[in-house]
Amino acid sequence: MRGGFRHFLQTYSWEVVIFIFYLISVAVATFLSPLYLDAFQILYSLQQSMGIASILAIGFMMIILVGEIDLSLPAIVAVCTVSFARLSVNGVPLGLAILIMFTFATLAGLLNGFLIVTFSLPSMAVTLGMMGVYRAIALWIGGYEGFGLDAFKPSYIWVGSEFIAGVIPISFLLLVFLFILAYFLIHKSVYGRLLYATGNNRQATYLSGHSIKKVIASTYGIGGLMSGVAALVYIGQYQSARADNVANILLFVVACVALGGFSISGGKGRIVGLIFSILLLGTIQNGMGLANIRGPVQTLVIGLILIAAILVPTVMRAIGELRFRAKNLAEKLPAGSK
Amino acid sequence: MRMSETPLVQAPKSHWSVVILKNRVMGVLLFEVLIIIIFSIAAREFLTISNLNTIFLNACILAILACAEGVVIITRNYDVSVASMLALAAFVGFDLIKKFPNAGPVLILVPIGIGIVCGLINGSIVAYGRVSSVFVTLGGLSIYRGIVTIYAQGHQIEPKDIADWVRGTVTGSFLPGISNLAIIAILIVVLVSIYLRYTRIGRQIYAIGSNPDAATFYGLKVSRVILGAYVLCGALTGLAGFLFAARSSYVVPWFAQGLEMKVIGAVVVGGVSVLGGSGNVVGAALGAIVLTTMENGLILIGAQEVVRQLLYGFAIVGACILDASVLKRVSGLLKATKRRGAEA
Repeated sequence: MRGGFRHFLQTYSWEVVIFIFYLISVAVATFLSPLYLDAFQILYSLQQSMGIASILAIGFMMIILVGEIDLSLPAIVAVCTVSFARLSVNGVPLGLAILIMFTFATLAGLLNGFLIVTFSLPSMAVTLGMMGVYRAIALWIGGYEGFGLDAFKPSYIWVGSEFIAGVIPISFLLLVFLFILAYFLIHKSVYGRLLYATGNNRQATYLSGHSIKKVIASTYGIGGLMSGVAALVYIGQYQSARADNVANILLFVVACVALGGFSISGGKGRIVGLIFSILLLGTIQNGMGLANIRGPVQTLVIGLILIAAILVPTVMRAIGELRFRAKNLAEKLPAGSK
Repeated sequence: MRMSETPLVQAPKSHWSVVILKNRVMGVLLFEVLIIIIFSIAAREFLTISNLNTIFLNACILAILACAEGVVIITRNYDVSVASMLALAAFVGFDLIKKFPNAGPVLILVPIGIGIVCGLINGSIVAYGRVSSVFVTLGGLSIYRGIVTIYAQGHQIEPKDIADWVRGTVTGSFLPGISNLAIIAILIVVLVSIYLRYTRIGRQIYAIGSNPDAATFYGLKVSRVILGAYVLCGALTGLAGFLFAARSSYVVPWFAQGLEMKVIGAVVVGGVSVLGGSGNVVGAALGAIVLTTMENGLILIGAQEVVRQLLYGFAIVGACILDASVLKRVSGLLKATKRRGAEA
């Protein structure tokens, strides 16, 4: 096929740029610290810093795809972590606990979606309110002091803390599995195409005979379910559960999704971009940690990256428009002078 | 066909949705009276002059912030970075007050200036980049908070660092019996509300919020007005930061964390529609008073933090649902009347 490579570059330009940035960040991190370039270190620290955020990002991505937003996902994670702890204290077997919590998380997400589609509410304000509600529920279940290491039975923390063959974290395998699943769901299924259609043009999707309300509500359900999965990994990683945990993860998740090339107004972005952006952000954070950069500065950097990820496509579009106009003008001028 | 003299499109005045829309602020006021009655029955110490005074003073700063956020929300945008902006303005402002004790009240301009700069940054990205305000200000939230933490370098502002004139201006009383804080808050709310209602730019803010596309076609400079709304929001937030810090006497880098939720809650409860273009800042200020009253009353009757947080959440969601259903009905009525007008 002629021009195959060029076509590839044009279609995947954003992903390629992010990948190049990723390679640069790896190089810089290696330069900053000799400890960096070690397969186990990379795998482990990436998993530690990005695992929960990546799982949430999968759910968040679906919601962004249809052009909505859910600020309450971290709060749902908090409810699930304290509930897992409470169930563990009460001696409920893990399988049943997972069933209960995943059902609850999905229902909590669906409730957000239901409120938004039935009353056609702005998702930002509603999920801000629901965030308060879920945090309050988490506080009610977990109390002020929350749960520590002794609350968890070994089976509960297995997913988040064990390694297969001593190297690969189980949660990493779970993450890979979820990404593969999300890939097929988004890019290879009818449902996925429907998400893009809804995000790009709601009116047209509705007129072509699809229930956009169901589509939107379902993405919130998936977002909720992912929060439940993230909670399971969380308790394994940190072995603690408090009502106010994962409070600052939202910025990270939003940054991942925005940097992954997902348009905020919906209908744009690919899962490959999300994976690269998670790798890039994880490496940046890892590198900053190895270089002894303090937490607040790290947050600042992530915030700046988020703004840049939003601004760059807009600026590119504006430049493109200007060039287009200039071209039009140049074509018109000689004709006008005749 | 000639147009009749009365405007063609007018919803029937007696429909419930129109009644609610027109009297939304009155409704908030009624609700406030209702909760005051409930709490004074439930808690003996609620209905005392000193407690009501405390509620009002506590509400003042939230009211200024709600006023600031309200202007942005009327343009159909959000600013979730107000709390971080406030912390940055308060910390840097009071640090300079500590370092230059002789400069005097001129230094009030520092926090306001910082607020304006933050507002300019937020506003120019939102208005000229045409990107979602939630994402931009979420980035702003972390950036401003990061800057405060870096600037502070582990230090904090303590009561002894605060100059006497600051305390004199904020907690003193210029008019006998009324705290300056209350006067400042009332003045700001009244001025902003008059500005929004009676000036050209103020009407443009409403026009842009109710229909951005129509405003563009009409020839309004949408981007510039939105930028202006963010700058006004930043300036008021900076001032609120100064007042808040002077009142609480301690400023730490994580000052006012999470306040944005309360602020947006106050605005929404006060009847400013999150869909933009409706409501006014007096309502937003009343919303602030309602939330503060609830918080105070719930503490007095011994309710836990859980209940308070739950109530904030439900207040936001409930107010959203009310506004959205009213809006839906009113626009449906307008359409129906229009159709009838066209047939006639």
